[in-house]
Amino acid sequence: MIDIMDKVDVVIVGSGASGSLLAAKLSQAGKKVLILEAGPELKMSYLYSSQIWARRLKWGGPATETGGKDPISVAFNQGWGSGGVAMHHYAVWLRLYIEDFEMKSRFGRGLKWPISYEELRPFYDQIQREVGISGDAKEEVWRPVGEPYPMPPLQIFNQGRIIEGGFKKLGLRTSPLPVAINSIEYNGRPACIYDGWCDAG
Amino acid sequence: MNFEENFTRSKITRRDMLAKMGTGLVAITVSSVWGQISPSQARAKGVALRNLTTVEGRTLEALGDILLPGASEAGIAHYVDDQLSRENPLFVLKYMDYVGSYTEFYKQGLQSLERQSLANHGQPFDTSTLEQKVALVREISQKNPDGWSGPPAPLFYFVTRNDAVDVYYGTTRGFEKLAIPYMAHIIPPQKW
Repeated sequence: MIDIMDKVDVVIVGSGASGSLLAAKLSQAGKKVLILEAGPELKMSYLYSSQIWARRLKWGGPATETGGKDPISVAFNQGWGSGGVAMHHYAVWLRLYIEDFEMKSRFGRGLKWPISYEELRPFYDQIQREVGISGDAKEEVWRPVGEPYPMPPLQIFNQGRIIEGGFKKLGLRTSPLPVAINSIEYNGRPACIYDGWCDAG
Repeated sequence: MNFEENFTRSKITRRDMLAKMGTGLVAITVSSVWGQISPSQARAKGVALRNLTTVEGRTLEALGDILLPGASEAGIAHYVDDQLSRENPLFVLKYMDYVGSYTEFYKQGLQSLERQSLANHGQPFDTSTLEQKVALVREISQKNPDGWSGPPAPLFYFVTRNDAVDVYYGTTRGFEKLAIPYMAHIIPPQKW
């Protein structure tokens, strides 16, 4: 615990997915880190089993909107309080495709990326080992090359089977989503119990 | 408990459920001089609306009953009106990435609906016939009617329909009505 009058090495504004990860890595490296968070302190016990209540996990600060000629508010994807968006995100962690980095050269759209998938690939592999991702790399035939997922996919329930059946009828294939949710115990964290209140954290 | 037992337990009538919603087995509440009470109780006690006018409240109730019969008695107008006063509201409009004032969203939408009803049928929305109400609601669900000046009509329809569902089914009793067992891992507080 850092006293407010202590000198620190790093101050991070916002305790969301990026800020928290950065703080953890810097702390592990021996740095003194202070995180400033404008939103409320959220605890695990606040994750009530209610989709209506879960809306409080969304952005609750001053109105935000994008620039440009057709601005939109961005409250839906924003978090609020400790953990930020990581408190309510659906944990679908897809890799970008090789083509995503080459949109300019291939299709004349977007910007020229200064990096390629091959350069990012080791980091994708490192992150999925460290965080833990459940999925089925063989079934996910469109996935760019990389290490297989460290955990088997989550179970598929009736809703998924119905969708799968519909795709099959159309001659299309499906695969389990790669998700940062434990299908088995991993890195000291227990497996998902399929409680079903993902919207509430 | 098996599905049949759950289903049997769920066979309460709409009137039963509305009565029970008034006895405190609810989560959504409205601030009043009686403290935090349910939206249906607020309606029954005649709690004054603070953000919507009386006419706007009547229009919202009439719209709610077309979208989900029973929504007015469940307190849709008081629910929305109270949420408009909250710093961090719970209604679904918060999800919609809408740029602009939430209060103006409802006021302009309800006023537009009222104007449209007068233009189309020569009647305020709440006193129109069922057929006239349904026709107008069907129209706003698809596109902005000619002369509409509120928020996008289909968005207004979508949001108010969700409000009706929230206030009517967003309770433990609502889950019973839907024959869905409410298997909470953390039970919400009784009043919020």
